[in-house]
Amino acid sequence: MNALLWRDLRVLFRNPQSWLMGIIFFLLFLSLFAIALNGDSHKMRSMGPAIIWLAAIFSLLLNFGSIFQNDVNNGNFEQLHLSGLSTVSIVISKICASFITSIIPLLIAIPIAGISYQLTSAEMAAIMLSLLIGAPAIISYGVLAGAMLAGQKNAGFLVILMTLPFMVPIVIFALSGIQAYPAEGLWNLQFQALSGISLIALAIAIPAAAAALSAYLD
Amino acid sequence: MINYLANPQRFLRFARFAAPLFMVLFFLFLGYGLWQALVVSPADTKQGNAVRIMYVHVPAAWMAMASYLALFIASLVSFVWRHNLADYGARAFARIGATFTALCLVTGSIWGHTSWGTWWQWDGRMTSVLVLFFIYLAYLFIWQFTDDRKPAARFAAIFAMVGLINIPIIKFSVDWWNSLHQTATISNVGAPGLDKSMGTPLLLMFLAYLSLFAWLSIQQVRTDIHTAKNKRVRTDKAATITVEDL
Repeated sequence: MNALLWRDLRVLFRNPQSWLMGIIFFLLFLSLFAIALNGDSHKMRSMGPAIIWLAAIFSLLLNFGSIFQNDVNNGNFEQLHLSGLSTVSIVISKICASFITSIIPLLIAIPIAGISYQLTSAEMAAIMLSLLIGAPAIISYGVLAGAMLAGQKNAGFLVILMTLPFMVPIVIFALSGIQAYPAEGLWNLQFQALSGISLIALAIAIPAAAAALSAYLD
Repeated sequence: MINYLANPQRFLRFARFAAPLFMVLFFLFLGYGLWQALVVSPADTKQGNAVRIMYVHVPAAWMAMASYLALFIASLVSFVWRHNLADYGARAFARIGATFTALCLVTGSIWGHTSWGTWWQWDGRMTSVLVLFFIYLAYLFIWQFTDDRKPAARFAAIFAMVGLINIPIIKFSVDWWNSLHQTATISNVGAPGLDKSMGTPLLLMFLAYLSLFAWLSIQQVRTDIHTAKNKRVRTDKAATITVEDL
């Protein structure tokens, strides 16, 4: 299990297009949005948290189309299965690996974006914290979709189609939590609800993605 | 009952009389219900005749949710017992459910325009029905992207079950968000405390929709069975080499 996590991390790290693409998309999306708003700093400040969150969701989801693809296509997945690992541990390792490789770059990019959107440091901190709390939910649904689409060629769009309906509660609680953060601090009601949603998502997606991967073994 | 119908042959025999039966029921309920709704039932004191949209809209909303429940049960059966008929059933339910959801959204929007003066409000109910519609669409896409039916059925069943767990969460969060963002302008126009003169046509229309659902899904499963049969027949012919050929 440990070795598997290291392997997944190494694969993701040596294959930087997966997470680098997300970050570049994130920054591009935000700058295009600023251009679309005509650089109006007042508007940008008020819409900033929402836009940064949406950009973060999309940039995270971009990675999942191909997350299991190589493993399934080149037979690694069967080998892992033969070595006695359960699909559940394969999924858990993937979730951890993509959490580490995709969240750290985003956490670095958010202050850059926040400065350009003229957000206060409290708002930036709130965005980063809400992303840390909510990311397990986004990633677990993304991994679930990735597991279903492992055999697919152009899975990127389908991942977004399959996961966005489940992003509704996450977006709602994250953004209202960001609003409540300056007054109520980190452990406000909305962030509690968000962490609850993350835990539920993990509990749903791990067995579901494992079951989806098992379909490739039939 | 389910065990009995799980056999495709028996299902086809059942469908041969059940499909027309539900069709007749549908037209009976629809005719009587529409007559009740459009002629017999009174116009609303505030909304006038516009209230009659309710008889199309509310049963559609009920069916949108009932279809998802049916979809979930069929998916569970398909996931546990890997039964082909449950897959066909689930897909049929999803198609019909998505249509009912679209009907609910469209009629709701028209009704909203006449009674509240707006085509769309990001109100809790409307938003959650819209999300339900997207979940249906995503479910149907899963069937599209794989040519191989078996894994597609697996994935679709998993997705339907994940969706069922998520629907209450989405509903709750959207309601909460809605109460946070705007005062409740427009809920409960016609739901509780309905007069009997309006309740009867509503029930009749619901029964009509239910029969339509049963009719169309039986018909769809029947079609799927026949399509699968035809495919099987058309595979490679048996070898016909004889001694003379050699």
